[in-house]
Amino acid sequence: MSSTTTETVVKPSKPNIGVYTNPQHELWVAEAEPSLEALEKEDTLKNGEVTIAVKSTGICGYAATSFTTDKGPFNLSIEADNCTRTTAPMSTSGMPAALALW
Amino acid sequence: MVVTDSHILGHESCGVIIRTHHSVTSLKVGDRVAIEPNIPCFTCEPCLTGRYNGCESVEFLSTPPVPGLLRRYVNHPAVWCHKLPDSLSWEDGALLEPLSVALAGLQRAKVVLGDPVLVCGAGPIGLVTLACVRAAGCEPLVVTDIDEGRLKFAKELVPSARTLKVEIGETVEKFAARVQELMDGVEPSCAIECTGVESSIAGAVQSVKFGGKVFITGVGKEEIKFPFMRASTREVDIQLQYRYANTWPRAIRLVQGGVVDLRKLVTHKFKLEEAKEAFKTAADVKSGAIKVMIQSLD
Repeated sequence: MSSTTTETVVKPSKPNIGVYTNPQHELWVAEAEPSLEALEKEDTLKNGEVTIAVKSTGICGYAATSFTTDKGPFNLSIEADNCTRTTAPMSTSGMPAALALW
Repeated sequence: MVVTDSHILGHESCGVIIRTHHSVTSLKVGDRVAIEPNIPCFTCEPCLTGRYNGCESVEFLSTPPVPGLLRRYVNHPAVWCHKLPDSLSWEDGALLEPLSVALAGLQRAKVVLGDPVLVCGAGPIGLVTLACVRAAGCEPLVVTDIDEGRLKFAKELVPSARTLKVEIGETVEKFAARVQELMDGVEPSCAIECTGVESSIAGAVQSVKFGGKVFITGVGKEEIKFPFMRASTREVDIQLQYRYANTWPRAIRLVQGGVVDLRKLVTHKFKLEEAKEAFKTAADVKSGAIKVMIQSLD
């Protein structure tokens, strides 16, 4: 066992995935950090940190992003909670759009 | 704070500790925690005076470029992980973040028992705020929204609240008159504005009594028009809010004690792999979604 970590009772077994967006307001699920390999090596933590298996996450407000689907791009609306989302007009050419979050 | 590259979303989360650095003594593997999504610097004046929500160097998870919490695993400072009592569900844990938003507002607005309060907006933050002002003993309570469905939900959540459907295009004078009528002739001493919409803020300013307060939790456009002379001649105090500080322990106590119960707000649940569908549901007004949860329970 590494001298820098404690023994894990819950061993991560599934790949780490995350929910992404981009300036084009697309939405997808893909691999995320820390990777499963890194977690298995037990060397991802800095001083004072813990690793959490996230169980539940709420979507902020109205989930205001515009994103594309198989059926084409569409805009969703508005502000929510502590998040400001300014959506640029969608276009079929997929113009880069600014998505502000806070 | 603009997305310029691929970016992970999410800042309302809870989970279980699966690993700790040897320096961590406050938490252990297996502890269930709610995640406060900020990492302030603790060297600046706001941080050192306890208002770390004002830290300009903060790493706020989900604000670009800091990746958010919509992941299966995340590393986070233990100091920003709050242990969950066994009685709190995963949904309760994730709801502590919007509850913190409402609590931060209420603490600064200083509403007290018996205050007549107007809550503008019955979206998730408006609804959480409504539950909190009810718990604080404010009376009467009026909540507004443009959507009948949201008002119906508000009434189910807080049955004693009086609901007011905002008519698009009505004057602020008419709006304020309707609020006062609904409050049995009383003008609200405080309006907690949860939409950030220019017209709603104007209605709030028009509605409060002389010397009253409009507390704006909502966020909106960079610049808005504001009824300056109305606020001036009525000595209306205006306060605004940016995130929260020192709210999680209070939020946990309130939920654990049954003082605030927000479980009804969770209308939809999806697996992490189904996140796209979750966002579509959250954005679809016809879905009736209030708080959509994305979960990784297996």
